[in-house]
Amino acid sequence: MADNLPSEFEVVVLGTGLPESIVAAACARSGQRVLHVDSRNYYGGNWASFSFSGLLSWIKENQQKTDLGDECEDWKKLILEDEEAIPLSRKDKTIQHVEDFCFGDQDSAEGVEEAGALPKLPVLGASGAKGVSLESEKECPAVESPCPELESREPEQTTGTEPEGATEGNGAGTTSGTESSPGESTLELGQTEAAPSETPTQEPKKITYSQIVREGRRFNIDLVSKLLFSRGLLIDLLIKSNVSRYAEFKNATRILAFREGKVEQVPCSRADVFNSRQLTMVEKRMLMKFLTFCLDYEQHPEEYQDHESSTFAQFLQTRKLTPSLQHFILHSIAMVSETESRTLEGLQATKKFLQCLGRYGNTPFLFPLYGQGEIPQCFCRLCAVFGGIYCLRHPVRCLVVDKASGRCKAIVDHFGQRINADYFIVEDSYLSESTCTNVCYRQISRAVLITDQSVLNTDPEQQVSILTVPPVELGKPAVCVIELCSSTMTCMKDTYLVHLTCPSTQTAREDLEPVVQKLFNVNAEKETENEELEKPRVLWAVYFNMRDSSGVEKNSYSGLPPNVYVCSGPDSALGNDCAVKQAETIFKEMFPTEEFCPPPPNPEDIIYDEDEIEPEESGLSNPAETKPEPSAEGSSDGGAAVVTAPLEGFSAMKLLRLLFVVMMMLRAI
Amino acid sequence: MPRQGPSMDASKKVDLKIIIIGALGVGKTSLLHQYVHKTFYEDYRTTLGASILTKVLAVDNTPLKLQIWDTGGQERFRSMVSTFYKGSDGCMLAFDVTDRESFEALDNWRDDFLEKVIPREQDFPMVVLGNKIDLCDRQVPKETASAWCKEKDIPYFEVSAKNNINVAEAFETLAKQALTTYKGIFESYLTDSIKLTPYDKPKKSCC
Repeated sequence: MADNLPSEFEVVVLGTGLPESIVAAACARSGQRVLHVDSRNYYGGNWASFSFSGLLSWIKENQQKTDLGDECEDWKKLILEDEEAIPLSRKDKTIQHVEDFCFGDQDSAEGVEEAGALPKLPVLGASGAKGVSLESEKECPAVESPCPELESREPEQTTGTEPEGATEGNGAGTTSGTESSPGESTLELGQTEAAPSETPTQEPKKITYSQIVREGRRFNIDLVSKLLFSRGLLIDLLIKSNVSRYAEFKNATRILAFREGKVEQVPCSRADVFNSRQLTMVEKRMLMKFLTFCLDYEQHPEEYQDHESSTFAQFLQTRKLTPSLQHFILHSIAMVSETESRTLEGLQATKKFLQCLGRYGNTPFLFPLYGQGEIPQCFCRLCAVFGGIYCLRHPVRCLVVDKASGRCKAIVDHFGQRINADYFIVEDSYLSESTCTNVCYRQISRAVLITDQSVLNTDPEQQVSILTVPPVELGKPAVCVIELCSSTMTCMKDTYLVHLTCPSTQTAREDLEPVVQKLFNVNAEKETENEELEKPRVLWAVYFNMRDSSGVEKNSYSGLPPNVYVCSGPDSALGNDCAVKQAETIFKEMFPTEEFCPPPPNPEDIIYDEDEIEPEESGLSNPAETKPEPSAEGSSDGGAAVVTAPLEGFSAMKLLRLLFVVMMMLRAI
Repeated sequence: MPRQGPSMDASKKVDLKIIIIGALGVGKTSLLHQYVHKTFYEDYRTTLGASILTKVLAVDNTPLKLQIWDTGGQERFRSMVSTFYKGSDGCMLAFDVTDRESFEALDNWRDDFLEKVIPREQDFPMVVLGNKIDLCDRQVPKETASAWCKEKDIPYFEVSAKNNINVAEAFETLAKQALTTYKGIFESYLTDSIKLTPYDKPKKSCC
C-alpha cells in the first residue's frame, strides 16, 4: 500500500452492496469526502458475483465454522473517557445451509486447473481436499442424508485463490505438468489423471465438470438473482446519473410459465400474442382485451370495484379468460401470490409489466452483461471518480460514540486507525449480534445450477428467460427461475446458468429442490427414462439461504446513534426498487438540500480530432446513442437484437391503437 | 449535415475498451488527457470526474472508437472494481521512469490484470509506457525496462505526457493490436448488448 488511509471524512460507508454503494456515489457526487470500505477482498458483499473457483471458495468459507480465536483488545485503548464504543461484527452470519452438488464425473477433474492467462508458472501444490458436502445447521429440520451418487467436491484449488481476489503472482492460471503449452487448457490432464471415464473429447457438446473448472473464469455467478425492469427505479437512476456508461445490458428474451408439467412460452407483447401458435384465436382476443384494460385500469373502476376485496386470482376467474390465460397472467405477468394478493395489487403489477414492454425489447426486463454483481461496482466507480477513497480487505472494529451528544464521531479499523466522520452508513451484516438482538430477519432461498441445455429448447439458443413456478402447496411462495445463456457472459459456451429464488420457508434445498427436479434431469449417471432425457441435465448445483434484512424497522437495531444509517442486504423481489429507495431515503435524511445523483457535468467525454474529423462524424455526439430507433415490430429474434436507443414516445395510447389494429386483423381472419 | 441516416450504420465502428493501469502517480490520467484532449496539467491531482475518455480514430481503414478507462484512483489501495477489467480489449501498463518502485510494481499489475480477465488463446494486447522522460532524475534505465518488456513480449514506449512524446504512438500501437485480436475472436457477444442512454440529451438528433 502506498500510504495510510486519511483520517478525516464527511461520510464513511461500511459494505459495498448495492444500497450503500448508491449512497456512497450520491454523497461523492454532492461533494462529500467519502471513505468506502469492505472487510472482504471483493466488492458487493451479498450482491457479489464470482467466477466458478471464486464461488467454490465462497462455499467453502460459508460451510466451515471457523473459530474466531482470541480477539486483540488493543483497540479499546483508543477509546477516550468521554466516548463509548459500539463493537461491530467479526464474522458474517448471513449465509446458511450451503449445500453444493456435482453431478458430473468428478474424477476427471482431479488435477485440472482453471485456465488462465499466466503461462509458465510453477505448479502449485496439489490439493485433494474434498469439501464438505452437506452443512447441517442446528435449526435445520431433519436434513436428509445425501443420495449415494451425489458428491460434493472441491476441485483442484490453486493456493490462495479467493473470490475475485487480487492474489498476485499465484493466479488461477497454472498449467500442471510437462507438455502443456502456455495458457492452454490441455485435454491430457483429464486423461492422465482420471479413472477410466469419458474423455472430454468424446462428445463435443457434453460438458464435463472438469471443463467447467477449466473454463471457470467464464462464469460470473451472482449471489442475488434479479432483473432490471425497463421502467424501474434502478434503470432510471443508472441513466440519470450516467452510471449506465459503465455497464451493458442484454434483453431478457422470453417469459416462461410452468403448467401441467410443461414449460411454455408466455406471449405478452402484441407481437408475441399475434404470432403465438399456442393460443387459439379466441384466446388471443381474450388476452388482448384483458391486457388492454389493465394498461389503464384506473379509468374503468366499474370493472374491478366489486372485486377489490377478492384476490387477483379470484378476479381473473370472473373475466372471460381460459384457465391457461389466467395462469399466465397471475404467475408470469403480474407475478403475484394466488392466495395473498388482492385485485388492485394484481392489476397494478400487470400494468407495470405492460408499461415496461417495448422500451428495449419484447419483455420488460434487462440483465447486466457479466451479471448483477456489476451494478454495485458501477456505483462504487462513480464514487471513486468523484473522489471517494476505496479500501477492500479493511475490517472495522467499532463505532466510536460521543457520550455527551450521543452521536457517532469515528470508526476504529482493524489496524487500529481512528477515522473521523460526520455520517456513517453501515450494511446490516456488519452490525454485531447485540445490536441486532431485537431484529427479526426473513430469509431468501437460493439455488444456482449449471446446466447443459435450456428448459425450453428453441432456435436461437441464446435466450435469457424468466420462469415463475407456482407453488404446489397454496400459501407457499412461487419460485422465480432465471435462465441465462452464455452470451450474458455469466457462463461458458454450451452451458446455461440457472438461478432459483424464493422467500424461505425451510432450507434452500428443501424449498427449491422439488422445483429443480421438475424442470431438470439430476440423475446424470443413471439410466434415464425418455422423459428425463428431454430435460436439461444439471452439471453442478449449490443451494444456500441468505438473510433478508430488507424491511427491518430501523429502530429495531439497539443503541445506534442518529447519524448511523443502516442499509439492508438483498431482498427477494425481482427488481431493485428496494435498494434504490433505501439509498435515496438515507441520502435525503443526511443532505436534504442536495440533489440525488445528478448527471455529471461532462457526460460527453468524447473528443474528435478537430483536424482529422471523419466526414460522417462531424458535430456528432456519441454516435451509438443517436442511432435511429428500430422499427416497432423489429427486434423479433432472440438475443441478437441490437437496440442502442430507447424507443421514443412509447405511450399507452400508441399501444392501444396497435392492439386495436391487431384485433381487427384477428377478426378478419 | 444530417446526424444520422441509414448510411450511418454502414460504417459500423469497432468499439474497443482499453484500460490503463499502474502505480499511483505515474501519470496515467495525464497520458490519457494528453492523448485525448491534448492537454497537460502541471499540478498533480488524482483523477476527478473524468473516468472514461473516448477517442475515435481510424486504424488500417477501420474506424475505431477507443473507450479508455482511467482507474478513478482506486489503485491507491489496490481496490479496483472488477467492472474496470471486464470486457477490456487491451491494457496499457504505465510506470514512472523516475520512480523505481513503480517499475518494479509492473509485474504485480500485469499479473493482477491477467488474473482478472477472461483468458484468451493469444496473448492479451498490452503495451508498457515509461512516462516522465522529460524529467532528469531517472531511476529506471531504458535498457532495463526494454529487457523486461522483451521478456514478456510486450512493446515498450518511452513517453512524456507533459511534452507529448510518443503518446499517440503508444495508444495507436495498442489499438492496432487490440483490433487484430478483436477480429480474431469468434464470439463478439458485446456487439449485441444494449447501452442505456438518457432520453433528452442536448445533442440529440431530430430523427
